[in-house]
Amino acid sequence: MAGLDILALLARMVDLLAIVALVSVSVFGRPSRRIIMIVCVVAIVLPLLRLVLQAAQLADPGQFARILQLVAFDTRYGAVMLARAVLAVLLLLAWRQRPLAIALVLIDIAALSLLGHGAASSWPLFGAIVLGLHIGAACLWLGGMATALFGIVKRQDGAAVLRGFAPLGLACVAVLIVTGLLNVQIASGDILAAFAGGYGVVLIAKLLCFTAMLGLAAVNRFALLRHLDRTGTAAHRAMLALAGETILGAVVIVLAVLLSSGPPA
Amino acid sequence: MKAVIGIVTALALSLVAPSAWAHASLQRAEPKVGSEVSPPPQKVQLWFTEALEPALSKIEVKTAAGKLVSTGQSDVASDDRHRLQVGVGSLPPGLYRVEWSVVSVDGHKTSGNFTFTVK
Repeated sequence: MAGLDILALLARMVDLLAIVALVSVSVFGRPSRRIIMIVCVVAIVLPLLRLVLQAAQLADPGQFARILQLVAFDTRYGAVMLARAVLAVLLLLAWRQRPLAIALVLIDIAALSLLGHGAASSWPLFGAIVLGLHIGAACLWLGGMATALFGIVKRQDGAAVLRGFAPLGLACVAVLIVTGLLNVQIASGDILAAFAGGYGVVLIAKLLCFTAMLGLAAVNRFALLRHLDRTGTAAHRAMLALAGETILGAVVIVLAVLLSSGPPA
Repeated sequence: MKAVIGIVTALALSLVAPSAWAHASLQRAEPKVGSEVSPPPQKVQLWFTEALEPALSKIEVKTAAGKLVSTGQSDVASDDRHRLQVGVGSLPPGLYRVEWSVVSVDGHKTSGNFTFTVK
């Protein structure tokens, strides 16, 4: 894999993590102005960087400027990335108005879903909706966990966030399972065949991480949450479990980017 | 019980979901790959597994000696974004090589080639 391809993969990973951060601060958090600034600037820069990297990957020597113009203004990829950068600018301006901020993040996720394999299939609307729901549920789940973890670490309202998040987290998991199966079918044409080769190894690793996350979430929900306000030990264990879940979630994002970048075996 | 119903529903849905095969692959071609055709075709048409970006997708048709015989710009059909075509004018008998390079709407680039013969 060329250096440019690795850079493009890294940019996609950071881009997805930035969307999780956007969901975290707009839906769950009461972030400081500084945090909002950092998250929004990353969310503005990453789509533009991905646009440049995409053009660099496609361009023959000496053709970069022409291809960059083509990619930016004559392709769906360019339209989506430019729109996402504008959305992040709007979010930076409107982050105090929570409903508007949430709407902007949802539009961002919907725009990103237009670049999935499903949106390029024979049923583009169906494919885009499935991917959009998958990304949205993943961001809600990870964003909720990250916010709860931040709250517990800072001794703020992590327990409250965790309690309020439990039903939503369960719904997210259900959506992730259904849309995950559909996404594999859309990408491979055969769920069982998708488990073959290198693609299958990454897919299995992602499923194992997801299962481990479910296990940690269950420990938090059923064993630790009820004691969270009373004992420091429970808070400490909940923090460790949440940190584990969040790290596994980041690994799942890395694996998801690998899956979406290469064809199934 | 609800979980079981949910999983069964998801599996059933996944069986009927469309497949995109992740990256645009050549699905079929006219003239067909490796075929012998008569009379000569007026254009070469390729169908791909994913929708294409017109600005970044092209076909070149060349003689066995490498001379370009395709005419004008390749274009993606307005009624079917999976189909790419290019005109070839009047082709004398001989072997022709079709070279294609496409970018699907999800941003992935693929390329390939095949030959056909005009009898």
